[in-house]
Amino acid sequence: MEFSQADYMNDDSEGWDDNSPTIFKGFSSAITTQRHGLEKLADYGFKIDAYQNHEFPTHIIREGDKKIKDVVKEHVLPFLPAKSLMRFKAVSKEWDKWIACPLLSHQQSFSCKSFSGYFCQDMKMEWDTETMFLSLDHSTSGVPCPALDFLPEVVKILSSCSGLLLCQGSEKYYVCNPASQDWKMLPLPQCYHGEEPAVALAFEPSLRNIEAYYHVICAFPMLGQPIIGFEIYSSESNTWSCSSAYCTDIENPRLVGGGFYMNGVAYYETKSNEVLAFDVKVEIPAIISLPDQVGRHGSLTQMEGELCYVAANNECGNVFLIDIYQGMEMILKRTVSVTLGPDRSFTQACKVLPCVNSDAVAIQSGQYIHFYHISEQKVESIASSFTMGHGKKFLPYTNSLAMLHELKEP
Amino acid sequence: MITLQSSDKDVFEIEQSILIQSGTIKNMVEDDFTFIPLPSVDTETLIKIIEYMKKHADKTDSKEKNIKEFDKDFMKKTLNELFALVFAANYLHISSLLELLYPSIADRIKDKITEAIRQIFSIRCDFTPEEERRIIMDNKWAHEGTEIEGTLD
Repeated sequence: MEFSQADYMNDDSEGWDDNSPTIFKGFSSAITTQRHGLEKLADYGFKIDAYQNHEFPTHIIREGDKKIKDVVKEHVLPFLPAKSLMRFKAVSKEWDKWIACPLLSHQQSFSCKSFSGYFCQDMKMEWDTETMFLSLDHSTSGVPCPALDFLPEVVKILSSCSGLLLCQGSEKYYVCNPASQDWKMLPLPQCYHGEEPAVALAFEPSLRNIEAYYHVICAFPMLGQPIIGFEIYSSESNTWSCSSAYCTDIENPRLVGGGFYMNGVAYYETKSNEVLAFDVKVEIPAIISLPDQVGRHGSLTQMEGELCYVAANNECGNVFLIDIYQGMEMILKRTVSVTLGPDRSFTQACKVLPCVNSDAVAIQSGQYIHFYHISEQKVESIASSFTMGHGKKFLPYTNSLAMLHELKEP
Repeated sequence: MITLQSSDKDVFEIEQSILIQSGTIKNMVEDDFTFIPLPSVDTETLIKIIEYMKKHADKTDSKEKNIKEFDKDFMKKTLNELFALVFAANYLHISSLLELLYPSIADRIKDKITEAIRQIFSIRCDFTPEEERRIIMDNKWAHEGTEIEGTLD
């Protein structure tokens, strides 16, 4: 079998065009001596004067010479959360330069999807609305300024998606990446969204979505009528537009603030047992009925890529009963009984928190947030630094370096 | 049956149907090779590669959970072993194994301090002390919360 000698001169950067991880090209080890190969090429009259001394331009590393550090730089770094990456800038000048590169940020935004923690904010207290970040693991995930001081005004956090946060100041909406402290102010919408807007940020990083376009979808009740309208912002056009779709089936059009986006659909909770769903692409609304949740504080969440509703109850001592409902029909998929936290004689109120990209159920109880991993049947707990109470918003966050592109000058 | 020979000259006879998961071996088999020398893969690593391919050869739905469990356990190796697997999987063109290795290695190194990273990957620090101090200050938040000790594993 003839191995193509030309494979030898492969440029690493070709790999980025593939959808799958770069497959190293070339069968260098099968070629007996490298020198022999280059001299043969010389016979064919290729322009290799520059390579006569076997000195390639520094960014091209011959397959046989690749060391593990080169492989890690190209293929492993995109899987690291933002905090680890920012720390590794101090490893060497090469890593510093590479980690600052937009290409790496783009790769990382869709390779690193792991759930990193929560942005939380007390929504009820007028005088203390500082945003905090609760990290799942302080050595790997975090942001430079959890209070979001880099934004021009104090904000309420509304929605999160794939590393970006949607916030609102006194009037304006902002989309930001708290890890890179990149932010953008959105133009004012055409419609009135209400005091506590039901608004979801939709962002799906992908190999092809180099421009990192995102949408913001607001569901708002038409004043005085049981009808919900929708207004959509697109970062591609930098404009808001009202959808021609309306939802008239809703029993109780009182929407709770914020919203969450998953697999092409935006979800908004209401003050009753219904969830409003809106398929963003085809602009079709639907209503999901949640199971009766008297006395339990459940939450919509994402588990194994699917929409779920999880409700939990502290039965006795430190035993919790968790019900997991799945899909648009909200069918009870699983019930588990699990011990969370230290043993005690009394029961505590608990609240289920949303999660993304994880198979865990998150339950806040007492001073802790417990994460119960369904498949491994393992519990991880972090200190919540908040006492239980309602009116606190928890937004699940992934520590990504997704960039907010501005294609037009502001 | 195909015979593979490691760099240590150990030979292994494996069914062709299992080995074609390796793009490299598949190409050679299509060209009617039945004896394939692998001078860049040592015996220890080759054994692991064969174990991986055997498990992944049968991809029926019922085995999916089993395979996931296996993959998880398979990654429980020392970093050096994982690095050897990366080079072997790359040479043999086994993309599913590479896709498993890269995030696993990321998971193992994500909580380490910079000096540990330099030691593990033999990277020379080319910052002057002043430059290093500056870059740490610029990203001070990222250097907080890590353990003091960094080990190879």
